Amino acid sequence: MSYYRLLLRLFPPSFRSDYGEEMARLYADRRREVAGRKGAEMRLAIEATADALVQAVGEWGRVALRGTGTILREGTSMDGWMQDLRFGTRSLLRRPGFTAAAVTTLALGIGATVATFSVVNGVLLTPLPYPQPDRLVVLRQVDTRTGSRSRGVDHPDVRFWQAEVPGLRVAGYEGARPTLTGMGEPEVVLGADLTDGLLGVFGLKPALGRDLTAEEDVPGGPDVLVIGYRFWKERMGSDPDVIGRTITLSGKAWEIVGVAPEGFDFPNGAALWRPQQHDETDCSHGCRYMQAVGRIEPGFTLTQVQERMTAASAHLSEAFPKSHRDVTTEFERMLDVQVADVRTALWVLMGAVGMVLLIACANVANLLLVRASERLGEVALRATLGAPRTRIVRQLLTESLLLSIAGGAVGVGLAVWGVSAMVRLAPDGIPRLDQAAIDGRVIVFAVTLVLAVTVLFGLAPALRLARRPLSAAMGASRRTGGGRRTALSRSLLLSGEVALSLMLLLGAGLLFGTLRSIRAQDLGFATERVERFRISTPESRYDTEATIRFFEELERRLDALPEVAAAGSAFGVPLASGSVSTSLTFPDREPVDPADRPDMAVRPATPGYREAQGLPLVRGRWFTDADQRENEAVAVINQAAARRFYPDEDPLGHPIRLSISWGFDDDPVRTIVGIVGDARTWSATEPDDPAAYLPNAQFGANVAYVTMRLERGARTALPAARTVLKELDPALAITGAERIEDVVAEELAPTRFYLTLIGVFSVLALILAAVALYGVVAYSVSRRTREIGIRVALGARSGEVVGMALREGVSPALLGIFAGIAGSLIGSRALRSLLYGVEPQDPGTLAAVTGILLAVVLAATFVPARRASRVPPSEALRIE
Amino acid sequence: MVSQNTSKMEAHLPMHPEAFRILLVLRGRELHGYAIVKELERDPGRPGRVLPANLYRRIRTLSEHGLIEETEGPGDGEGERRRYFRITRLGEAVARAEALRLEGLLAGARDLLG
Repeated sequence: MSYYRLLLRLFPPSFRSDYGEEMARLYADRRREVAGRKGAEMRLAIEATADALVQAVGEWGRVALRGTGTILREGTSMDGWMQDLRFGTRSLLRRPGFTAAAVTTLALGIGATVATFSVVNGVLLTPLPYPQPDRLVVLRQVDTRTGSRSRGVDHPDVRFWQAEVPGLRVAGYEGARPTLTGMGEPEVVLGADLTDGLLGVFGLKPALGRDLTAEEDVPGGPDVLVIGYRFWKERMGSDPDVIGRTITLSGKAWEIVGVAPEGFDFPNGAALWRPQQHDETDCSHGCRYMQAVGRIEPGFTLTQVQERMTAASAHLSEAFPKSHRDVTTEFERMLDVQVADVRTALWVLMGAVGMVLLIACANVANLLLVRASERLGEVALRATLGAPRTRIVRQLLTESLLLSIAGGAVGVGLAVWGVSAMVRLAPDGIPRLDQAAIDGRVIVFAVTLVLAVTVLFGLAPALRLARRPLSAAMGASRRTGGGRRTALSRSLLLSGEVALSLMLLLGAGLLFGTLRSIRAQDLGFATERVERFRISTPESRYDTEATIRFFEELERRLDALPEVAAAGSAFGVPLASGSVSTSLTFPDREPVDPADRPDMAVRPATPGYREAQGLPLVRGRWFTDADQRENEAVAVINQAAARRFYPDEDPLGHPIRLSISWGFDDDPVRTIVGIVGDARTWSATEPDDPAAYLPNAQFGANVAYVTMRLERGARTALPAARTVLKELDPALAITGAERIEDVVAEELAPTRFYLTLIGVFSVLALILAAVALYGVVAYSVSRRTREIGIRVALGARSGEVVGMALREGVSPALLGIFAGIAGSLIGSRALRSLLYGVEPQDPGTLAAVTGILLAVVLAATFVPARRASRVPPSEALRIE
Repeated sequence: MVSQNTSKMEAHLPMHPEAFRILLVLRGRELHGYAIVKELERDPGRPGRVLPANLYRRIRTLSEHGLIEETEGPGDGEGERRRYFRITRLGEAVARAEALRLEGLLAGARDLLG
């Protein structure tokens, strides 16, 4: 019933108020007839929808025509439409060339638009696949003093919010990568360590067993876990009695208490979830290594819960000033968080493809205008025979509608192909891309597009044609090409096309510049012949000493491989996940307030790492095997740290102290012994943070990226490295084996993706605009063959004739170029966040793009113009 | 006078078959929308079911042309008020004229086809 009332909104208000109630009642009556039979109910709903759509279109048509003062014989109006359709089809089929050109143009425009919209729809508009996805939030800590934001929260905070913020269901999690053994080859499995209630936050229930509880999330709590549905299916053979079985993770046995529902893999493809069992004696408030997700409970609004959360934050600030001063907590909708990085880019793409569609419409409008001038006689005849003007407009619009329906149908077909091409082309970094498909919403969009496009390109030519006074139309000579106003419209359409093409080309040019400047970027480390993998030693089997010896031994054996020129390991390596930072103090300076201490990235590394990664040594020395715990504690800083903390002095020899430790209880005061170059760590475009490299023998990190510089000519060292590892400890698994080249290429992938799409769009735009230019000039020349012939006969030189014809195309193109430059000065701002190393108004790019466009304009106009000058006068004069 | 009436009627011819059927089912009685639907669907030759928007656009057209009109209905006074329709005298005449036209068409067809 309510669904039908929704459909009623399709109708003009007058009709709705007259008959809406009765129609809804009739629909309800009909539903009662089929109540209980699912298939029949569905069929009725579909039929009624189709009926409402068709009738609403008819009704709006009626209203529109009444607005223009037509009286239709209602009884025959449908017949009239059918007649229009038949007539339109015949008339289009009579001119297959024109029809094919128009349909192809529209299909390209609509296809590209629908494909892009499918991606936007899948990524940005489709709700998350959980119950009431709008209520899912991600928590974010905001420092009100500095404005800095972070997703890191601490374990006690999550417990506090669970107890003190009514209306909020919240769970904390930390990504984990335990090594699974005892089931074939050792393997690192993605997972998460939790507080409790994660499934509940997502509104889900376990498929088997139960979720983790708060009682299990205590230090020394039971070793229990929930496994993912796929893990259960593929690794446990869908065992119905899986609850109570144990699996071995990083050397410890864990008892399975639950299986997550199918499809659930939050966060980041996790396949198992364990209690965090956070030990507060280690680190209490301020240890923000977890992230938190929440659900606004039914009956509460986001604002209400946010108010309570702000109050709770104030309470925490007061109770724990050291870690919570000026810290407040905000909510972000989960969908927004997931797509934040790509939102701008996708809307820019949508804007770009919209321009292509506009150009396509302009092209078709142009074709129609040309055709309109040929049809003046036909229209005039019909008008004389008594067809009302509105009827003529309707007839012409029907033809346009037929064109765009055909174009739309072909376009949607192209879009199906286009979406799969885009998905294949897209980098991994675009979330939810698997959701992109032609679904109901996309179809509705496509249908709307077809209607809008019809009005866009069809209405103006139709009105122009019908509005023309009879006498003028009858008297119009076929030679003049449709009068000055039509010629002006055509020129303006051309200008518009050129302007839009210029903007698209500029976008492509700027992205190209971005790609080039990222590529030219000195990343600060070797990008060729470097491989790496990630490995960690489980604390259950390795104490700090054993870990340090393990990495030393691994490095020694890898170094000995014939493929490897240098090997080393480190944590906090370029373009990889995993980093640590801490606050920094200077023992040789005046102490400062703890809140004002600067941050320093901490990168434990082995002696071979610098050479393997290719970090340039700027001053001093790097680590050696002698940098052990019992010797002097040392650090090597990067240039960013040197610039920031020692702007006016030599950092070498100065002491620093880091408030973080890993394998040992406490970190000593360290002496700076060297400076290395900055290495782009977060992304290829973000400068490196101030960082301190520490010899891992003095720090004891048990997770590292093992980095190998290959000998010239060596293809890969990974198989050999696996063998070495198996000899050292067969229970260890490696993850993330990759070549740095691939990692860097992946960094460029989003830009390359956007560039490819905008590039395709702008080439499409350029072709369409060139075709339009060519068409307009060729047409105008052919209409003026006689005039040209006379001029040539009277002694005009061929250069003058060419010039005259060129002006026909070049003047609107120049106008378009100016408009395009003006438009892009405003529009290119939208691109800013996608650009790097090039300004949105980069004059060089603008000049290049203008040059390309001008060349195309000249080429497209010159060919027909030249043909005009070649016509022998005798032939020209014969033509009529 | 007669000729004027004839031309007024002929303006409605030929009728859409569905509109013609609506006139026929409304002859001599007042029906509401759902009852009209049920009557129409008793015709075994009719394809598919009658859907709301289609029906009410026809009713609207027929009312506007004065071929049918709304009535108070039986007014049982209970529950929701439904809207009832009945045929007008012009409607009767148009229906008759349409029937004649169809008869003529049929006769012509029979002659042709033997």
